[in-house]
Amino acid sequence: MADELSIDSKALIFATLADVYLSSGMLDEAISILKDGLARNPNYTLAKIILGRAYYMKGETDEALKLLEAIYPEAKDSENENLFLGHCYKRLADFDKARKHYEAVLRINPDNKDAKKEITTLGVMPAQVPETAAEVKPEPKAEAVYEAPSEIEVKSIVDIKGMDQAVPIKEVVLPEGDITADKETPEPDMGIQEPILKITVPPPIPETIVKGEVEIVLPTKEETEPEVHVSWVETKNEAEAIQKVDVPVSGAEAKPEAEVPVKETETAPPVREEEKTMETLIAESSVSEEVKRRIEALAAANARAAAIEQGIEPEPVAEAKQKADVPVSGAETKDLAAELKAEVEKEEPPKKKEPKLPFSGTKAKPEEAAPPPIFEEEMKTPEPAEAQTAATGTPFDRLNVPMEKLLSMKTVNAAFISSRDGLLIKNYAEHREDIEEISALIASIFNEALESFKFLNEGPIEKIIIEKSRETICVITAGESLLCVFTKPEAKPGLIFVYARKIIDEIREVLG
Amino acid sequence: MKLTEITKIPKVLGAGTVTYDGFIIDSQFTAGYDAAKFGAMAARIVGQVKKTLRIDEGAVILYTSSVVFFARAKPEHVFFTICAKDANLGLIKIKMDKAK
Repeated sequence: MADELSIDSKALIFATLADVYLSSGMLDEAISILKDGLARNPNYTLAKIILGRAYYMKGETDEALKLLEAIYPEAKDSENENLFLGHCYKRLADFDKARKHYEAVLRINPDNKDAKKEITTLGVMPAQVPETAAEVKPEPKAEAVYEAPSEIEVKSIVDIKGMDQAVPIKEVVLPEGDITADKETPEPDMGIQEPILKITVPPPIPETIVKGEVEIVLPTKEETEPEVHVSWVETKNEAEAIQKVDVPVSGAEAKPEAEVPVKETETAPPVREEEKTMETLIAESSVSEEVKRRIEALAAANARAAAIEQGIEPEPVAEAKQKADVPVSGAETKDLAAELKAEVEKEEPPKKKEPKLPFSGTKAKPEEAAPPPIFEEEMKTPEPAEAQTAATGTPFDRLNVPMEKLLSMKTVNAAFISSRDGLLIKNYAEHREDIEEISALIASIFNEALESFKFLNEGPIEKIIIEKSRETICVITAGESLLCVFTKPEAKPGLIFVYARKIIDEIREVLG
Repeated sequence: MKLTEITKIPKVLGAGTVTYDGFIIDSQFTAGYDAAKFGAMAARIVGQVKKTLRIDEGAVILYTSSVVFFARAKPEHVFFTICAKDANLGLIKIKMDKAK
């Protein structure tokens, strides 16, 4: 309820919350929340009645009387209004007015046992009454007896503006802890003896022993501002007693004409036990359990609200930085390493021209004499690429010519060959230092796209063109390798692919 | 730009827009092609490219053995088109570049 109240400050739920506070003896809190709620809903009659009751319980009878009298014209048909007015007048020793209001209570609800009892009490009282309220208070007597009700139930009835529309059903006023000295009046109609509590100190007992049973009649569709009518009802043990359960009320949750199904009333407390202490009565009473349950629920709700307000949101899980995944198969790495080693060895010494060495992918051995020619065809001079390869001894040298043609284009910035794992195979852009990083990133993108297209069953990827604002990256698959060409945005991709085709063929032949 | 300007090009199999979450905003595909799948793939690839290369806007063209896939990154969504390999890719690219 506290949560709902915090969410909707105009919610009428504050009356129910105040009801719970009153039930648990938290008078100041109840008065505070009622004042606050009435400041926002000044025409909420029921809240005023509850506030009057709170004042009465707190001992501020004049304030309670002033409040209850102010709303009497519009709430004169309210059982509780009359009941608490009667209590106030009785406390102020104005027994005539008290009797009048108690009779009004009985007119509204003839079964109101509390009103009956009060009228009975007033009937046996002497004619002369004390002049002041202070004299009303009974003096401490050793045998002062408090008649505790057998069972007390709290009913909250959500009334619709007019409280007269709420049909009071067997509502009996909660005894306000009236102390009657040496008075033992068992309920004759119930046929059972009420538990009698002997109290040595006579001041009025706060109405903390209440059973938290709340009946809620929710508003109809056309009535927008339901009022919560809380009446304090002493429950009979008869089967026909209507049992209603309190429900957390919010305007949004309220369904028109809906009454919440009710749990069965708790078993009436033992009525033949005598001389029970108040604590024992509270502990044994189902009323106190209900109040405890409410208090626990309120405490939990407040704790949650406080936790939400003060809690720190969990830190978002740090997104792991993507790292280029460059696993290398052992065989492939070995082959590439061998080739690269051979390339390095070939580049270092001054080369001698060995025209008769066709490309075989292996290092030429200059020491070995060439086999004697058998046919003249074998003696023909090798092709230029073969001659160049033979000169350097590196298979990649075969790519030099087409790659130079590609790089000679004005719109081409750089190019490199990498494996699909992201390892750089051959770099034709010496001026760029980030080629290795780009190689890994391109391989990552390629593999991502490859997996996506596998999912779509659209075949393997042949080419990817990634257009950035300042350059375009063309990635062309060449067997198990990738040829990446960096071009300017204005480059003609068709022309790039034409030039790249020759390179791709060479790469496939060299690297497989 | 309307999707029909793309899809009316011969051998274009479909086009659409998708959020970076992979949810289709609008699409127009020929029968047999699942727009949601291509949209999700477009969002995935473009998102990967944007994250990897640290770019905000760009385009990706993927050539497979049967189809060509265009995806252009926009600030709030991805515009993608899929067409047969023998479609007029240049025309499609022009349309894609002009698409807002």
